[in-house]
Amino acid sequence: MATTASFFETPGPIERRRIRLGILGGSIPIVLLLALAAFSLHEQGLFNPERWEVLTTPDLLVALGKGLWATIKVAIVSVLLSLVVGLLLALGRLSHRKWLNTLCRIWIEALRGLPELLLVFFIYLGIPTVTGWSINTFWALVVGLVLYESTAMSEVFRSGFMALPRGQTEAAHALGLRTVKTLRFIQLPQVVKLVLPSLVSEMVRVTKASSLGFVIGYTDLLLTGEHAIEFLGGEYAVPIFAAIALIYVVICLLLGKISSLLSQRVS
Amino acid sequence: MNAVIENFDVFIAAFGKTVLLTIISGVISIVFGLILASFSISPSKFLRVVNAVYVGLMRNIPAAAHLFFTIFVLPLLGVKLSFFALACIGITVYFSAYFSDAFRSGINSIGRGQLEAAQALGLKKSKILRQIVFPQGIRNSVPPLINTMIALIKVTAIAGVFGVTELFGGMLQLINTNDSAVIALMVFTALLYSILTIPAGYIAGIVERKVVFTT
Amino acid sequence: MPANEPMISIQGVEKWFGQFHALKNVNLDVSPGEVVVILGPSGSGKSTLCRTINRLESTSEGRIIIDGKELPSESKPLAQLRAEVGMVFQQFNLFSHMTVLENVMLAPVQVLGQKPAEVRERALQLLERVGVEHQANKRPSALSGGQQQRVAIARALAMKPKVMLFDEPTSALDPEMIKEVLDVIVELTGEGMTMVVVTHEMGFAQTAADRIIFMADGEIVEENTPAEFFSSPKTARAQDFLSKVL
Repeated sequence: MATTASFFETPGPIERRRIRLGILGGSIPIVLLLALAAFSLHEQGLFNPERWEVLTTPDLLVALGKGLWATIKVAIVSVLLSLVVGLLLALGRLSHRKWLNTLCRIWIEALRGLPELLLVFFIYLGIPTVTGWSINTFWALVVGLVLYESTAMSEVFRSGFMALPRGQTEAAHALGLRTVKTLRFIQLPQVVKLVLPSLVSEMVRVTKASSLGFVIGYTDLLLTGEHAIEFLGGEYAVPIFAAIALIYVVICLLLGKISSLLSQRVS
Repeated sequence: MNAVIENFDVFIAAFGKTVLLTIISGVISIVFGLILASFSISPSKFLRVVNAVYVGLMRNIPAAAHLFFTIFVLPLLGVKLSFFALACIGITVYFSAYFSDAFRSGINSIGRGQLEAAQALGLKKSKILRQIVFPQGIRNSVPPLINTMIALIKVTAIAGVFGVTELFGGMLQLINTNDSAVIALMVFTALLYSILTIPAGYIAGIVERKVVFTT
Repeated sequence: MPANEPMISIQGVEKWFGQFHALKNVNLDVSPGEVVVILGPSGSGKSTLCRTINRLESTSEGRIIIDGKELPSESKPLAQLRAEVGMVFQQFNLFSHMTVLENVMLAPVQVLGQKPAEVRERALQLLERVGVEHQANKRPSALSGGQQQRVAIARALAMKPKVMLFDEPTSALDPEMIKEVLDVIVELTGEGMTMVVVTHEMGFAQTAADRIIFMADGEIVEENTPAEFFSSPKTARAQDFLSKVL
């Protein structure tokens, strides 16, 4: 989240006046442009209240609600699976077995360089082609997203493990705990606490990425919007889009807020 | 494999379009990002709020929704531009916010002491910007800038769904006519994306180790 | 009576950090050529006071006058005034993207508009004087803390300031480097420079100061000559402080 604290010193009264004049002057062309755009939108009747009343139509609200639930479902399942896969990848990267370490590194770097959309397609078109199984759009989307997001999560976990003081594992080993038990009782609880805030902000990313379901025909929030615009007519495109954008912004800002609250509590 | 070789020229053209889309929207986004970032360090609270609101809104709308708006909704409002140009607008609106944050993180990594030392020596604000903030801030911004650029390359794929025949769009068209070679076509597309993104990631890592000032 | 006019005059200065009262009605005059050392426990406001003198810290109330001119609040005249006040920081704060020589040359060229060739010569002389002439073309990060701090002093001196402010100049240094920096500062006292030094180095305070200011809880608790302050402090708080640090 962008902060609004001052980088330079507080300006004196004369300077403040000059800054205000500068902004006023500089914003004239922008204001003119916006006014022009607003005028042409007005010509098209965009500010007509009737256009916006569409957002109170019960059918539309129900449809958007279903779309939102579909989006949330994908986001939650993807995040949970990415957590598990990401943790395994991170442990692989931290492993002393060289082949495992290298394998995980190549896997992570190869996937991180690819568009998420392409990965979703790999699953959606590739799985049926190779195996002959059919896969529905929900799981195609989830698996595609997990392929990508788990690599991001693994980096978060890895930096969490590396931030742990060495003494913690050494003390555990000295007490006679085996590697798995050390991991389970000593390292993981601390790491999870450490990485919790960045994991929540990863959720923001997954929520946004879930809108790629739109492309393979998974009826998420965005695709619901498109259907609604096609059904109700192009003149309702702006109000419907505005509502969808607002829903995304609110969800992501809320998650961002949770993340910063968590990081305050952790530190 | 034959499908790839036969359609090599289609891939090359599509790859070129991805590069073009990346460069055009990347450069414009960087310029807007720099302007927004300069708002964020300005002494005017109004400008700082403008940056915060823009970044807070635009970053949190998914890329697919941005492109949906510019390519699908804008023409309904009478905007008559090519899909390519509309895709550039959508990507720019989205990534200006990310580039603003990239520059801001670079500038904020300059130690408070550097600024105070310059103030104590009697340097004017404009000279502090030119002599201290820009040279250090821009260099510190390079790794996040490259990483943002990589993200941008990957987002251009979404334009392929909206009628732009860049790499992903080109692949979709080829898949339509060669549905027996789906895997080969997708793997080759992945390879072409990797050519762009993986070396860039390595460069970012090297730059981070070599160039960034730690104060 | 220009001879008696103070170089620095701090009058009724108050400073709040939110709810925290950092400076309480501070009054202090420093004569030209005088060396004032400010002592006090950490959190006593001594660093804050030092930083208000060139307005790196703004004041909530009160006036600060340097060589007859009140500190302005607009940045342009403030920058002009700051150019006449040298400052040395605890963390050195050398510009990390410039060489040592460029650090020293920056302000005379950019602020005073002097010719780079002349400035260069003077900068090299100053670096020689503080004993780091061989490091002139290195980056600050290649130098030891003591060397960096001596460069920082040279950088401030290059502006030919009327006043030098030292904000805990040796607190961030390893013990073996403290002396090399203090030697440079002591040498300056012999040249009639007006100086305000915030420090924890009692030995330095004893030998170099013309006057000791003792602060606690944002107030000036005691003003005294070094001889008397260290042998028979007037206030109980100063006695308590000295019993802990000596």
